[in-house]
Amino acid sequence: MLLPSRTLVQLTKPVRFPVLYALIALACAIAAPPGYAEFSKGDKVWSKHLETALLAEPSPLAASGAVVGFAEKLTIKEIRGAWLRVKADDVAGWVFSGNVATDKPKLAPAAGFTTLDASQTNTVAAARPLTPAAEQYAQNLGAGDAQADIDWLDAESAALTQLDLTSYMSENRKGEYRE
Amino acid sequence: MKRGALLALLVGCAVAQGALAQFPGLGDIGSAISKVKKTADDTAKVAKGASGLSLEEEIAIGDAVAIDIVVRYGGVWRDAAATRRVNLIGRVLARYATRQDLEWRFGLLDSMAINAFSAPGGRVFITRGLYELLPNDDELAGVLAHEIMHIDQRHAISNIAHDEFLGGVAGLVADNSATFAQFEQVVGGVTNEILVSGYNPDTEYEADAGGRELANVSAYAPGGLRAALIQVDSLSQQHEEVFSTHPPIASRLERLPADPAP
Repeated sequence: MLLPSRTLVQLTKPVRFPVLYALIALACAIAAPPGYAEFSKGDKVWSKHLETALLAEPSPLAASGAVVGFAEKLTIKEIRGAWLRVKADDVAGWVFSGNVATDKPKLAPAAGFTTLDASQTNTVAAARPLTPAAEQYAQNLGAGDAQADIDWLDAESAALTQLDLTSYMSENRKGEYRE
Repeated sequence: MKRGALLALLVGCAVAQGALAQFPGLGDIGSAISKVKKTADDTAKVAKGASGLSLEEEIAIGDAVAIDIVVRYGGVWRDAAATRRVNLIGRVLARYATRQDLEWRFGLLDSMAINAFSAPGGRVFITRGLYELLPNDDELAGVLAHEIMHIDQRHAISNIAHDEFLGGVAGLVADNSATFAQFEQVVGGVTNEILVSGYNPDTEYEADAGGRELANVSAYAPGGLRAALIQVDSLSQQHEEVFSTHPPIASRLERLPADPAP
């Protein structure tokens, strides 16, 4: 039996369902959908990109109120869907929860590849070449063609700018641009 | 009044739970984000602590492993449009990975085998055979996310922790005068695990689960990997090499949630 009999009896009575209660129920549903509970108000999270904008609204198109650097501790003040309103030492704003880490990151992002927000650039980043050890490895293996292939691949990858990526995400509703 | 309000709240929350359950892309976004971060963060911490490899060392090993992968799988398929597509999708996924210290790069191998690989340090490869089987972005994202998780969680390098050649690798990267044979031996071990023996099944299942969560966070359909695996499975009878370094597809599908096909 899932419910005590007393409750069953009560449910047989006509139930008044005032609009106000319905609105409260809806607010409850929106504010606390299942799955969002793992971030809680008061939790500490850390920025993991070189720059992370704290936005005025929970939207990627909202104005940036402040920018925090890498591995800054943020306190969650409010949760709205996949967005968190966070506070740093002296600034606050909204951030997409995919852009923060639950533990303090130790290694800084590779410059030019993970910067978010206003400083996005259309400048083509210089491709990091194969390491000298890998070049020597290719040479010893007689794999000059493979090395040239990877050089081509790295150039193609580096030609993809941050602006390209942001435009793609916006047009295709990915990440924080999701509907 | 109080009972009425309570009833309304319960009904509302139950309705919301039911409605969101039908839209896995919405209902479990936050959960997915938390899970993928927690899992990857925890695993990364342990692996990093265990291996003690610096980022520079990891990248050096990964670059050499990438050379091996390219050599053994027919070279890079130099199709600019396809390469752009895998880099766009891959970079969206990598944007939400735990490890932001890597320059993630995605490439296609000129081989009709059906497989995908990841080298330490952020290089992900997918064969032309698999790529052409996946015109759907969600399915491609599922495969790429699986490979990203191998790197994010340092699967390939975690075993180097107890390797006697660690000192040689460290010495080589810092000072090229150290013997190169040690470096090659480490690279050979990693390459063998990635291309020949494969990871142990539990590691693959972890990458499946983590990849699904990563795809979901990135707003690709969480069922993309599942759909891709089903497609690949349908070819396994007629194709020589299908995910040869991975556990049986049926056992992977058993462990993935029954998400709808994208």
